[in-house]
Amino acid sequence: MTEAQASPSRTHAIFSPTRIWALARVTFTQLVRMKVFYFMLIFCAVVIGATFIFLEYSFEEELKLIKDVSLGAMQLFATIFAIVGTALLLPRDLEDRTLYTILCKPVPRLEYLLGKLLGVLLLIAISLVLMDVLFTAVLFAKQSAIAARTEEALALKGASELEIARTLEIIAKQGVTWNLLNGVAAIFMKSCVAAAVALMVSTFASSTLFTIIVSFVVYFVGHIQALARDFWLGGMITDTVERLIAVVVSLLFPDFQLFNIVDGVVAGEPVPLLTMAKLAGLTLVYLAVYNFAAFFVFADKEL
Amino acid sequence: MKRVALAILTLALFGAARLKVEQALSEELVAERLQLNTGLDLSVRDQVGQNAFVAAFGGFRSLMASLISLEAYGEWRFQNWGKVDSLDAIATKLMPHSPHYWDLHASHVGYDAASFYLYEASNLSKTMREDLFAEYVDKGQAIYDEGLRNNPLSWKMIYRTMEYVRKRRPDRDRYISLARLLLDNWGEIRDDDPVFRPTPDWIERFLAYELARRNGNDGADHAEAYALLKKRYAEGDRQGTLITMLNAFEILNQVPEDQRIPERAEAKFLTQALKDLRGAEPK
Amino acid sequence: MMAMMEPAPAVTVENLTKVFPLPLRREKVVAVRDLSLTVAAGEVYGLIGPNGSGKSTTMKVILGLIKPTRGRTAIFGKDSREVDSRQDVGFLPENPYFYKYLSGEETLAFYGRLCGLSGKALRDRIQELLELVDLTHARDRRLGGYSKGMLQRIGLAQALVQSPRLVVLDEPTAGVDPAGSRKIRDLIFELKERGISVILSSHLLEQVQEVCDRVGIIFKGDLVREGRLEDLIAIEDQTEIILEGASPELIEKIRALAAEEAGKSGTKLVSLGRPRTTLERLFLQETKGETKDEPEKR
Repeated sequence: MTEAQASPSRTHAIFSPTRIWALARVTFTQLVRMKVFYFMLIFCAVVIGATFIFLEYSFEEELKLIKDVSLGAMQLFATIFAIVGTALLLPRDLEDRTLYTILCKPVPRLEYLLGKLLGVLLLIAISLVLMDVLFTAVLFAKQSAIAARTEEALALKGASELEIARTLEIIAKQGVTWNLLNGVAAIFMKSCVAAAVALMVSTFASSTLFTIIVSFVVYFVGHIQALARDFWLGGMITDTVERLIAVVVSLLFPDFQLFNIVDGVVAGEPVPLLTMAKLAGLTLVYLAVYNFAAFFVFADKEL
Repeated sequence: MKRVALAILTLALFGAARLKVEQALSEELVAERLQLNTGLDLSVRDQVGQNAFVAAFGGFRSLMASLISLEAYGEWRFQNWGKVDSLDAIATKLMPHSPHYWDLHASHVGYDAASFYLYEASNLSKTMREDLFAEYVDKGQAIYDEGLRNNPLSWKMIYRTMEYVRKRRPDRDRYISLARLLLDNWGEIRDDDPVFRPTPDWIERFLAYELARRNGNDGADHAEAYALLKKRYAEGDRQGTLITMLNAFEILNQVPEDQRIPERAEAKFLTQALKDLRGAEPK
Repeated sequence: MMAMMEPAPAVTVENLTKVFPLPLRREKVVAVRDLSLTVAAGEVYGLIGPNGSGKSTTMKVILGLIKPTRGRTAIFGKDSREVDSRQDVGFLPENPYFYKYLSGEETLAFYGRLCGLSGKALRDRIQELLELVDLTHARDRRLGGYSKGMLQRIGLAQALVQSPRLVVLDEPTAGVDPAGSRKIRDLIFELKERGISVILSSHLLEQVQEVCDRVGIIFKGDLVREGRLEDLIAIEDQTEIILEGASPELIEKIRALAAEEAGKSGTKLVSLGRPRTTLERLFLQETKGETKDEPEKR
């Protein structure tokens, strides 16, 4: 019997997490083998470099600097990965005709998009975890050094036990805390939305460069979207053109500012669990809507 | 193209749907002090330049503040006070919820710069030096006041300001009102200072001393001060100045000998205290 | 046994028209005009025509990559617009590049997973395909280091990963050297033996001539001729005699005989001489043993 007759008509799942996972894994592997993880070397240099800055007047400032520099670098890398990484995916697959071979398999276009996005998000998540581990270790080392130094100085000055304990407690509060993870989580959420924006743009963009530029513009305008919204809703503008701009910006651009809780976190403000949950929920809604829009355009795309 | 237009329409509808939700969440984040009201005061843009402004909006506010503060520290070492002042001012604008930057700015201006002009600016005339000193001390005060407005219940902000109005720019009324603010809101005071934070007893005692030295309100201050001192004594406080003040009040109020406290302060301190209390009588 | 039910043709194209609008202009480009063709199950069909004649467009419509402006296409009876129809088809695009950071084996595993294969079934299938396309020795090498012929072969393996009943090949030998090209031709023969339908496009007539049962000639979006290969290329009134070890005398005799007949029945000697081997054959003969990749199959 020949093979053709032997192969039965297979059943086809309309939506298959296995296929999405296969796409995500390949995207992730591809990015990893492009040696993107070399960025970790830069990150190490920056974070460890920050520990060598000593300020005679304030250990608070020394710890804050490590937190600022590390979280800032995390945000920078996450954003770049999210936008550039995602923007490269679709056009490259199209140029290399790899997209043809994938879509000629029984893979719905939505799954293709989801798989690609998931691959990038996986890369960002793993990068952030690695960076966070390093950052936490460095911060803890610095904090311990400061605690030892301060304890010695206070003991020399003849400070009371209570005073020393109290000061150490305050140093600990400025050092490694669970709250810092909230900041890292918010950075991840923000990059998820940024990646979804880039994916959406790339479905109708004609070039990678266009996607990257448009996505970065959306990213920056997204940071002042709240401003436009306040102007509009607050009725602060009377000029028709300005008002129109405010309305367009408010409606079309995502509010990236909402995810900027890092500054507060560094300053030691606790983030309530409910707030984190709300931000996570918002991220999911953004992902859903943007992916839907991306699919809507991509489904009809002539390849 | 039709699909792209429809996709944009979808985004706009989504935008309309999330408008109120995001507005509410944004207000919540401001209330939780995780964010500033509508981003950042737009006036900062003129001071930090366009690039830094964009960076600040991009979620790097804290980092920017750190770097600017570091730069200020460099200038501080070279005693470039004008530069220190303007850099510190940007840091406070970037992180207005951080008492640390307000305190840094105010002390750089009010203590360091002011003293420099008074004692070290030898190329200036004496009058000029004194004028500059006064000017910078006033400036320091203004910075503390602004910091307090932004952080009304911060222990560090209140405590540092109290120190300032006691030592640097004496203002008894202000000190008393700040001490009352602390005592009245003790439970809600935010503990954000790495310096040892005392118990309310400590504040009560100092409040009593200053009330005694002021004695406004037709003698009501003295009555309150005496009551507070007696309360502290009853709770076991035997601090030297407390004893002296109690002795002085007992003499002033002609308390019968058998009702006075057994402790006796040194004569020279007592004389001074009596002078303070009598001199504080309203004119 | 097969008579119980008439099997659906591997490919059905009915009155296909595809028009591409030019961006920002009023004019439109008609890539394919009212084209109909059928590829029977188990048949090897060749689409030939010059570059830009509409071959690729037709294939893309069949594969569901682009939508027809008018008409419809189907694979084994399932409309091309449905994802489901892709279950039974494998595609090798022209000059394909796969993810170059993946090894040959990983590439096949990836495409296999997309088709719902996993575990032992997938591993076995990969092994089988690597053997089929003769790339077992390069399974762990990344595709970035593959030659063009090897890429084409891994592409073919990829197209076959879910054992489809139809394989679509777009210019399968473009840019491949004769040895590689021949290897691909051999693979097509092998597919045919296994009963797999093949539709291939090419502008190399010789290649099409060798493997195809039927061909269609596309020119400027129209299917200008279609039919069985022998019917299309046989020249009805000519006969070819090929002799081996013939003496000059014999040849002279034949020539004289032909000349004699010429007067009576209009017979005419068109050519006489040594049969030429094709250039491709000559090249292969001369380079035999030097190309490591060359299997001795046929």
